[in-house]
Amino acid sequence: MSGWGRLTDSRYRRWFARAFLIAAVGQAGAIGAVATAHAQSRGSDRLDAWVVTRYRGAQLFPDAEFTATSLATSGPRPRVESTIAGRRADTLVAVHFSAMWAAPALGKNARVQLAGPTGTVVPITARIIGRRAFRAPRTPGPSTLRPDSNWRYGWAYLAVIAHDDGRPVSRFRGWLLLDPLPTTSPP
Amino acid sequence: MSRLRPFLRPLVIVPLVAIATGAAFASGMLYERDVARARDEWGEARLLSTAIDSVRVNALDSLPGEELIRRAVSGMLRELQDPYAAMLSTDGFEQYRGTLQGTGRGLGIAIRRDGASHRITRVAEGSPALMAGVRAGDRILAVNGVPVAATATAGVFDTDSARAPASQVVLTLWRAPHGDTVRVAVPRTAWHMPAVAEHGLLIDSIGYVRLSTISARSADELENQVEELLRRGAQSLVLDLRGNTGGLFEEGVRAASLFLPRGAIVSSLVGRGNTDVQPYRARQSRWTELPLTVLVDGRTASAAEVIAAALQDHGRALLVGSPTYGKGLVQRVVRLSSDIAIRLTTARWLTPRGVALERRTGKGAAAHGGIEPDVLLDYAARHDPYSVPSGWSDVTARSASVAADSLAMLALRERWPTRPLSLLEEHFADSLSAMTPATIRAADARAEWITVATRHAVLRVLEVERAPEALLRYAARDDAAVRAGIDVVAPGAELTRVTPQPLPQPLSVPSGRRAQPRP
Repeated sequence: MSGWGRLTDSRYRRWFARAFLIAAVGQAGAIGAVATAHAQSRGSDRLDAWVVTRYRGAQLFPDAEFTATSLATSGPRPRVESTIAGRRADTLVAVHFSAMWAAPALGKNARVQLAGPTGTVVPITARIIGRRAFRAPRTPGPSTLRPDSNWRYGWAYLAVIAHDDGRPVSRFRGWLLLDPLPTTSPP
Repeated sequence: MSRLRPFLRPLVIVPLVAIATGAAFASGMLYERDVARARDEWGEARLLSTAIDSVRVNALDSLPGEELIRRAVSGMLRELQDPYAAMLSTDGFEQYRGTLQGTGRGLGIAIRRDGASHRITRVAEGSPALMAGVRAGDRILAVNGVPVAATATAGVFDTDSARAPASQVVLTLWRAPHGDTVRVAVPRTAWHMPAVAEHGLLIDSIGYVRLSTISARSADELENQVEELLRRGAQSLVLDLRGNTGGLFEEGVRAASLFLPRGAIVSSLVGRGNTDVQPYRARQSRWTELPLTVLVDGRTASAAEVIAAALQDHGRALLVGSPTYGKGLVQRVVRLSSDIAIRLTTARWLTPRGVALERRTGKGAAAHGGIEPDVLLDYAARHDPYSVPSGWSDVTARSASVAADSLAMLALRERWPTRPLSLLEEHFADSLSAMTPATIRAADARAEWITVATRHAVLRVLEVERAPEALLRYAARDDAAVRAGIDVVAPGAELTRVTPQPLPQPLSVPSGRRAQPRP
């Protein structure tokens, strides 16, 4: 059978279609992964720039994977300190500090809930797209006894929410980012 | 020897005569030069005088001679291109001096207009109102027997005793929470307005002092308040200089000295020609190791910037907030006559690193001038705890205020437990969630209404209970700069604990009616 004849054969045609489908799905997945990675790295860059601009002399730390499994459950919740309005999505930058090197309060890619400054939780969720551990200098003077006391350690988070023309994102300044509350089933 | 004497005498006398003649000639020359200079200056002065006379006599629409001189001086100052130069009248001079001396002339009360009524939110320490028994939380019903709602505010609360219609003001007050009506007579007298506007412990180990101005005795007042806070257990301090437009340069130096080692240069003054640099050193050093953070904003200027720059340059404190105003100039007041004085910029002050501050100008990346803080905030200005979101309508704001006030009065009358504050807040939020206007439907808008109304209700309770420190702590929680300041000295510390509380489902209340508060 000639080559053309093979291609027109229904069996080969089916195989060809399957191979094409697999290749297309694979390519789409690869493009998606690259796009996601690009978006995340762009988010991290924005967050890094925000941190170093905001805190003079701040040092950024790599986000160690082990911290992802040991989220801080007590201590201050991340508070929205800065907001950026976008066309499709609005960005929130939240920060929390602790005295020592500590676990972050929120996980990567986590879906979090927003709460007003008095703690009233609203059914609006945000997605964490970047987080950065950092330390910022604290004065006065270096202490030889406790070197850690010269620094304060913090975590900054970049979260996005859907844009709503009727709701200015600056309204969320001072709000808290919370883990989704555990849902309880009725007895 | 005796033979030589006739020859020696001329040898001594002739040079002496020559020296005396030369000295007389030289002094004559100098005298003549001074006289000529004075003659020139007098000639210039006569030129000015002639110009004024000429205008007075010949100009078609002339002015009286005194007014012409006043305007000539004013024009001269304007042409100097010195933005701080000004001619001061007697009233202006007294007012300026009073500001620098910290002399208050009003009643000493801060009033918030709440619908048709006026509520007293703060009574200044040492003020005539405090002495007369006025309390924060009172509502003013009438002033000198005239109902306040029908009276123009500016005329009633005239701050200048010289222009006041009477030497005392009789206030009729509604006293919360039971609604007693009291009448107090407040004398209109000059009093010392404290430079420390607010002070207290934010958390048990963090002291907070807000210096609102740098007037005479400001450094002493700051020292006393810090000492008291340390005695009460403060281990670190947040010094708030936001909105402080300065005052006396020397007082600023003294205030900064409290936190610097003895002998450290706080600032230097440079006069005309940048030749004579006069350093000012710390003399009264008190707390050189106390962890300290300083809050600044775009209105922090002049002597307040002296403090901020000195503490930043010596690595004593981190500055938190937004870039400062950038007023690196010092003025001096020269009194010309009994009714005219002029204020002139006479020197430039330098930071300990020798930097002369420039006025903050430009926007975005092109902005420069002022002092750059170590922790930069988007919105560093002091937060008004009674503010409502900018997008709110008057109806929404009023509904929150009325609901909060009613609930706060109920809580005070029924003696709801007010400690811990988080419990009271939770109680209020719970009640207010049932009082949300039916017109507010969106979940985030409802949460916001509850948040604002809860805050107002708690503030109202603290106001009536006269708990300034609790009020300070509560108001500071919504203040991004104070929070950032606390993060510097005590990372991870929380002002008041926030308990997450899910928003309840909206009630099916008919439009225009509100649910009644829970008993």
